[in-house]
Amino acid sequence: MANPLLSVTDINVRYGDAQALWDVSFDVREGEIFSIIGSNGAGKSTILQTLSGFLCPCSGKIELLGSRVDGTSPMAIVNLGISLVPEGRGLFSNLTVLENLELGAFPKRSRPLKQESLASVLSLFPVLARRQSQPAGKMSGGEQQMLAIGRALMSRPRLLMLDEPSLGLAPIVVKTVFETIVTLKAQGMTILLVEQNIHQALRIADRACVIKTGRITMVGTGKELLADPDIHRAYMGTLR
Amino acid sequence: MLTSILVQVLINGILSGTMYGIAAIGLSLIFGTMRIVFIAQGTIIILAAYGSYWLFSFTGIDPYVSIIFIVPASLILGIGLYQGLFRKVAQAGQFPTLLIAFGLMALLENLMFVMFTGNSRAVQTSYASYALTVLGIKISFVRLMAFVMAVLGTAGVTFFLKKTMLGKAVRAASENLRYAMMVGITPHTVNTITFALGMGLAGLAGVATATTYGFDPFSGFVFSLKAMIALAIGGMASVAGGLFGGILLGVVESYAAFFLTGGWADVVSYAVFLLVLMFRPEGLFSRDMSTKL
Repeated sequence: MANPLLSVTDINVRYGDAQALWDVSFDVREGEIFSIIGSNGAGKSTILQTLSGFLCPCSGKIELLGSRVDGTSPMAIVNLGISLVPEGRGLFSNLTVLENLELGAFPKRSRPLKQESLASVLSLFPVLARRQSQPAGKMSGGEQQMLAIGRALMSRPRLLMLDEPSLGLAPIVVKTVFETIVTLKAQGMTILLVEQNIHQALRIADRACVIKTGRITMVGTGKELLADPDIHRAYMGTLR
Repeated sequence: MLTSILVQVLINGILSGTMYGIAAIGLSLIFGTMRIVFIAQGTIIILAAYGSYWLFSFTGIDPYVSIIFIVPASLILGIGLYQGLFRKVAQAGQFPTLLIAFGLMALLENLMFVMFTGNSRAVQTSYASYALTVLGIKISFVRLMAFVMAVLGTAGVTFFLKKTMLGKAVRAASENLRYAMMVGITPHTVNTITFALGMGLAGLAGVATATTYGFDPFSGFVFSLKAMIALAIGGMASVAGGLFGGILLGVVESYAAFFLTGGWADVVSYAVFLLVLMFRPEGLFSRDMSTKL
């Protein structure tokens, strides 16, 4: 069994009086794609916001390679190697494609590797190389998603977290995005994927968990969950 | 004959408008990352003007040479102001920060009044009344220098924002602070930088003021107001917009003073302020305000 890169143990997160996560625990192993699936408002994004330091768990712990990261700032966390591609992509739309990528290498750890990282991101996404001087906001949805992933890669993450990368994209573009995720995994990246596109997310996931009203209700391999009749009924309807 | 007078009025307007512009750029930088309406900006300009004035009076240092002392001192003042006054409340919203800025303005005004008296001052250099004549148009040397300083200051800030990593971080943070934090940009870092830049520009504007206008401890507030009008006209989106808004305001005032009387210049400029806010709250030249507010 591979080592856990990230291990989340019994975290509870609340927004004021409302508790959003209840005793959430899971591990992400080195080199795998781990998917968190669930319906709207189940707590998927809350998990990612907590992991990236914007929300503080009131109990429980988060460890990256064995050291605690909960309670540190978002800036420290990205420097430690957890990078988030937020829902809605989080680009600086007035800045150019190149500037967005450069800022991805802002953390101290990744700054010396900027040129190297840039070359590898541009070869992974040739479309970004052609649009370098264009404002990020002027690109198509799919290109923006590539840029957002590219910017996250610029920080040299150990764990890449993607929040709904397929949201708002045309089906053919969604396919490209998922292919990209698989390519990244093949290159050795560890990926935590949050998706509402459950069928696709489970198809490419090594392992996955289901979250429902703030609690993890099921954990298994992607294949197991994909074959589970309950999941079919609850999330995929009669559609495949 | 009339055309040459109108051109003369235009030139005067442009030259005095750059002063509003340079103050406006400082305001927009600080507002951009912190959403602080730094009403004390004009008073800091006057403080810098006093710095230049006293250096000239006591040591005979030429005001243009005093830039090399005043601007670095202003940058440091900016860092100190942020760390001392605003760091703790940076996340507290606009009302506390506006109050602090207002308090700072009142404190500095009264401090300057006690220390320097309320007498109006102006740096009396040998070239203060020298004017160049180009094609029959008279151009005041000190006002031309103020214009050149404003343009160079704007160019310097633009260069910093466009070409350096920290400058790009400032732009990213003004667009979306949360996303900036996601890529590892520390809010306090960009806030400190923008405050330093804003005060550095105030220092430059102070030297320009000292050489071109008479000033007293309470002249700063009007500067802040005019800078805000310049921002309303030019929009917050770009550094050049602030400068351009200032110049346009200067021209409007200049013509208002010429065609009506001096007192009407202010009436017209505040009327322009309200009209712009009513009909184009995002600024006359702004493309996209939605990301700023």
